[in-house]
Amino acid sequence: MPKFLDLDELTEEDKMLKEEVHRFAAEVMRPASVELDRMSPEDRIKPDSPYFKVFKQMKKLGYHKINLPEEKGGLGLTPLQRYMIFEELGWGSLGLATAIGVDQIPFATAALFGSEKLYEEAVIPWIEDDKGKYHGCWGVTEPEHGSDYLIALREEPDLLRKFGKGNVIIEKDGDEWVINGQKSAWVSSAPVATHCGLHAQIKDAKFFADGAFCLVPLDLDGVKKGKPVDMLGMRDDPQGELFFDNVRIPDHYTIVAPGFFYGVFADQLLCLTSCGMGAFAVGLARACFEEALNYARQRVQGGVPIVKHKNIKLKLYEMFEKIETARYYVRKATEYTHRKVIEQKTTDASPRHARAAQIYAKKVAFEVAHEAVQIFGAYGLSKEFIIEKLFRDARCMLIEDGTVEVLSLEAADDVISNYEKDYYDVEHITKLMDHFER
Amino acid sequence: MAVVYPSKEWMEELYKKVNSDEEYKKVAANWEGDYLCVVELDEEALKDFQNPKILKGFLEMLDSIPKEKRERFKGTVNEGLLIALGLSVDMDISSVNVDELAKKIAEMDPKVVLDAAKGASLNLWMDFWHGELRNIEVAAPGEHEDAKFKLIGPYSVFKQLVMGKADAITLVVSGKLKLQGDMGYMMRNMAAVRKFTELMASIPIES
Repeated sequence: MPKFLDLDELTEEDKMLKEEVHRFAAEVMRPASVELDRMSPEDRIKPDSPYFKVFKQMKKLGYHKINLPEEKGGLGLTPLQRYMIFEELGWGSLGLATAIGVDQIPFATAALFGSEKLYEEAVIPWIEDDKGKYHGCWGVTEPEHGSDYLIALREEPDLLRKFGKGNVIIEKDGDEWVINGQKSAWVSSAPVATHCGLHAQIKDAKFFADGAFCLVPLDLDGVKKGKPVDMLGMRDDPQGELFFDNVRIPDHYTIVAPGFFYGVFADQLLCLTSCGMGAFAVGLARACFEEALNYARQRVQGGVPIVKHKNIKLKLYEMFEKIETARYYVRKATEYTHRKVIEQKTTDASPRHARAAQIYAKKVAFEVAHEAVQIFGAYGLSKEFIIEKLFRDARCMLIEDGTVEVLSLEAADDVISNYEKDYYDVEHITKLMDHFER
Repeated sequence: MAVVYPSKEWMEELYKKVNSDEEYKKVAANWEGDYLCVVELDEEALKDFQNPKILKGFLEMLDSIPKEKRERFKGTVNEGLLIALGLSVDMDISSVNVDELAKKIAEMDPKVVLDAAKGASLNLWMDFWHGELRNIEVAAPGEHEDAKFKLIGPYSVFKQLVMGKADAITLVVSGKLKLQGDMGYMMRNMAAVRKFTELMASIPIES
């Protein structure tokens, strides 16, 4: 059981769940993540890689189903329980937690917004999978477009024109959609994925955010994968390119059609992923803090454990303060967002609040990891202790799933335009649509 | 009790269902605005019209349009549909032998009918006001075109919605149904929209 005082009143079920997930994080994820971190990118994706052992175990435990509504095959968890699972997974390994997160995106989205036919064809086999046969990824980032994909909806039309064309284009052809183009090397889990939740721009789009979201099985003719890349951190989640050459998908595999609702969908999906990333970040920060606290209690310098040194005491308190404030803010934002998107299905969560959960917790994770390395001193720089890996992972977090700068700018636009409004305002989307329709 | 869709009984059931639901009253307390649903004729509609019960329901809905408003059918694609089915705007629709007409439709080539009545639709107007469904009626061509929202789609897609096989958000998000109107207003009132579609889907439909 992870040992810390929880300010929420947890039920027995909450406590048992937390304990179960922590055991999986500590006994399965953590050792595999250390092993994966030291392997070459090619070895990490071989069939006997520890990556697949973790994934198979995760599917057996059913964690891939946590974000589904109960009537769609979900586990009937509360938003608080979902948050707790994500924090523990982030504690175990940021890379593997991200892999577990992106696995859900194509399928959970299909369950929430797709047709019954797609649910039966693609989602049910994924739900029932207990062997790690199916693995999703999220295709957003492109060679010419990274985080700007995230801010396109809130940009001024004149600037948006300069964003140019998307690198993945989708076009309707009879009862099918045809996909062409490339997603860049930073697609998490792409080298090992079987399906992609793909953002694509429609052919002859009037503006950059004029797109569609579809589920693409990656064994279709015309799909190719790039080599897994060698990264600074998050090495336990393989990343790589995806290429599409006249790939044909049936009409019902396009979950979100071009138009106004694509804008709402993109905004709201980012609310969900922001809460997930926020919880991962809190988990990672907690892992760094606990490593530093344990080390400081044991490491003797100047005749006493360094935890008795005032500068270390101060650092540890400040780390604790940051983690606690991040946890309870991300939890609150998760509860609100999940209520709106998963439970009430009104797709009107608050972008600025969800983004703040991700941005704040990511910054906290990096600051805490940075201080933890400082407490370890030179040992923090060696591979002898896990803190070195956790620090590299925390650094990557400031970039993955949207850089903190771009996310902050996007959230700032929402704050400036909508602070006084107690509802989700879509004027930024309707304004763009009106502008480009003219 | 199960009702036929489309039919006047279904419209009455929907009216009763919405106006007796306390939760709807609460979530739609601030809603002000009407909907025009444009149900486009498709192959599935022609197939369903071979069932005399469904055909009767459809004809009764048309018959509910006051005589003076039926003039609006003249020269429109909807008149084309009536002609293709061997009917006319001026005739007494209630006197049609439904069994015979259903048989006749079964013998028709659906492509020929759909070509002759391309763009034909059954328009349903619903007026919502502060938690109440004030009115629900079949609209004549061109009527209520200024409704706050317009929901457009094929008969087969509306049927999925009515039978609870797909929810409105899924159908609109996937582009199967087109929604026009003040989208900002709708997004601010998603709870009311969702509750209404849930109530609609909860009416048992006679198959």
